[in-house]
Amino acid sequence: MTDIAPSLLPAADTRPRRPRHVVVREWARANLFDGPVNSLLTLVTVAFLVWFVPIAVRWLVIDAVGIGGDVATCKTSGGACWAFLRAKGDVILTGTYPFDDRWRAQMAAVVTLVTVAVALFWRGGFLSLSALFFAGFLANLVLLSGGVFGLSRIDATRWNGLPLVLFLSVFTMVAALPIGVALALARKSQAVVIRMVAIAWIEAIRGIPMVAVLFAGVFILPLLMPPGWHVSSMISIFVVLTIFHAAYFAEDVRSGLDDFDRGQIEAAYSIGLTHRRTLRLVVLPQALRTALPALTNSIIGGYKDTSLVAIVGLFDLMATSRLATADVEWQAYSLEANIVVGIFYLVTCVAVSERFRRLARIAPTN
Amino acid sequence: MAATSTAEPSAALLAGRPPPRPALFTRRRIRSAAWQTALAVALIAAGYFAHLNVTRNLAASGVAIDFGFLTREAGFDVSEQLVAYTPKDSYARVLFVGFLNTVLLAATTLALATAIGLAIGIASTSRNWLVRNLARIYIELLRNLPKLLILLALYIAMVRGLPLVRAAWTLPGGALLANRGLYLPWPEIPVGTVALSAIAVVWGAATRIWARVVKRHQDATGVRRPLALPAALGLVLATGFASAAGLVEVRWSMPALTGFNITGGAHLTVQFTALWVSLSIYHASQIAEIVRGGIVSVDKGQREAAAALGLRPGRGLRLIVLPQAMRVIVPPLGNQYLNLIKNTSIALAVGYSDLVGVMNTAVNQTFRPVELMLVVMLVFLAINLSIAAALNWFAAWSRPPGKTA
Repeated sequence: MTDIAPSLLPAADTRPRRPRHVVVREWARANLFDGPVNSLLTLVTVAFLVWFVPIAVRWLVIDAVGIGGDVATCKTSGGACWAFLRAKGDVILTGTYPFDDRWRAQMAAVVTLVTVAVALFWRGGFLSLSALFFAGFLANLVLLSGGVFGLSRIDATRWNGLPLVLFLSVFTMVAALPIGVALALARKSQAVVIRMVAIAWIEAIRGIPMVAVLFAGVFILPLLMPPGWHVSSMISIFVVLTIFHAAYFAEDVRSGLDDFDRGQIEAAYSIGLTHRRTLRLVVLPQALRTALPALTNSIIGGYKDTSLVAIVGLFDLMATSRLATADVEWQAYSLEANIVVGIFYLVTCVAVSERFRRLARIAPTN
Repeated sequence: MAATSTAEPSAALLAGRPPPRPALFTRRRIRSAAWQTALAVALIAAGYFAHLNVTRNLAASGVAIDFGFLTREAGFDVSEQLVAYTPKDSYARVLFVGFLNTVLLAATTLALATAIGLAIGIASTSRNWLVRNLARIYIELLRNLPKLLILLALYIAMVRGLPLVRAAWTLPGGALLANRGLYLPWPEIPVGTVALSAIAVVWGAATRIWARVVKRHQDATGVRRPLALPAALGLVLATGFASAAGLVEVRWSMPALTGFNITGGAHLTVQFTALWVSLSIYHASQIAEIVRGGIVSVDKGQREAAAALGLRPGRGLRLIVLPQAMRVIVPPLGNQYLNLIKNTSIALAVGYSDLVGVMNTAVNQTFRPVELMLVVMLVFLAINLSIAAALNWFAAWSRPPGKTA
């Protein structure tokens, strides 16, 4: 025992420590000046950075007017005008939501964000997760729409900005996921009619652009309802977005099912599991895990593309940014709004995709 | 005896005879058939009610489904067109104009996005630390931003930040950039279109033959004769001789300020330029990630073996790594191309008259959403199916012999 223990420790480095500048020089030679082509590339890149970084820093920080500044100083300075955010931040966040009730819209956005954050670290089963999302959905409806608990009723056309984007993207995708799984299974079904319906749904939706799908929601869906029924564009958009995401999720899940080893199904049958339990306990957990990277891509894509509702007249963050710059006083500062909205998307997308990447690596049991 | 064997399959098995065929009506089959019938009936009923509701709803606004309006005068103008169009033309014509605009935007974006994506993808696997990390930053940044945000930011920046036509910026090569758009030098061929096409055909054939000769020589001896240089030289010489002989005349039409406007060259509107650039850089980030994945998937030993054989890094990449990476790259790249084509429909956000944009205007004018959406959906389905077929063909063609998948 005693003669093994020392070998478990890392061997002490007995070589003399090289001076720091030598280490740096060797690193640079290996990574930056490794041959004439690489040296040239390095020089070109450095030249670009030397040109670009000072311009960016000057605009963003040095010449910029801070958040406490006013519009008069913004007009004379050559940099960004962050004071714009103080003046118009509310408009960007909640758009035309009634001013006195803004807290409700802000709360709704927080509720959705918290729901997603909790769900990403959820350890419970499928049913409790569904309950969590349903609770989040109801809370959103109560907060945004009102009409109960003494909250004044607010029309869906005034749900704007961040709460709208989060509400539409999160809850349509949550609703679409089980539908997508069902569609993927239906596509693999031996029943001809069921298979054909699934294929028609998936291929028709995937063949046309999301903008056209949104227009179908605005133009066609109300026509399908019995005369006299009024369908607000919020409901139409919610429904078509769910139909849209379900088709994409179905293809991702199908890729997971395709990789699935049939022997496992036979093994499950042979130990006496029913068809349904085989699906729930054996097939889906593994297929969904295989499909997770593809699903992550679809989820991130769907989240980003929810901004396209702006094209059919709903006020997402881009539309509210435009609203904020409609004020003549502040109309020159749309880039500032775009940067802030961009940072929000960047942070949320990276956070969600990193979490999913980790989930795909550790073995989920549910 | 036969009757008992069907009644008792185990007896048949014991007797060593083949088991009987499964019965036509098992419980599972009956249940499945019942479900399918129920679904079919439900769908037909839903379809019937949908049809009924649509006709009643449309009748309430005084219209019925009828494609006849397509021949009527459209009466609205478009931002730009590739074929002659005036507001007096029909709806069918304006939809065709929109379709061509979509195709133009998709084709140019496809080319630019692929070029940038390939470059950034290769750069992100570079041994150069600075280049590699800048490429990664580019990929991560653009992959995580909505395309609409990139488009609107670029569009507004162009409209506000670019100078008036009077003070247009001159770009290298003589192109002009102003807040009315991008003006590119454009070749004009006043004389000798036929001669030039003849030269192109002959040159193409000659290059193919020379490529074959080069390949055969390489297969036989291992020595690779030059291919690209003679081909380029041949083209330059042929056109040079033809223009010296007066058969062909190629002129560059340069954009220049005359009066209050820029004339000459090819004019790309601000809307088109913003769409083209923003969609290209957005999809380039996705393509770069695909390319990176493909290059990484090629075993490191291949690159080392190429270096050991004495191939320079550039040639090793081009001759050894990329052809193998292509097999991993092509399927997701095809999906990306399909996405790109569909994504051109965000053109509406900046008022470029693509197919969906034209459809939107037409719907608002005629209140015929059903017919117009049907046309647009069929067009997109047709585009998608043909691209998918082309990609399948390419995948089969690029597969090395002897490999099945």
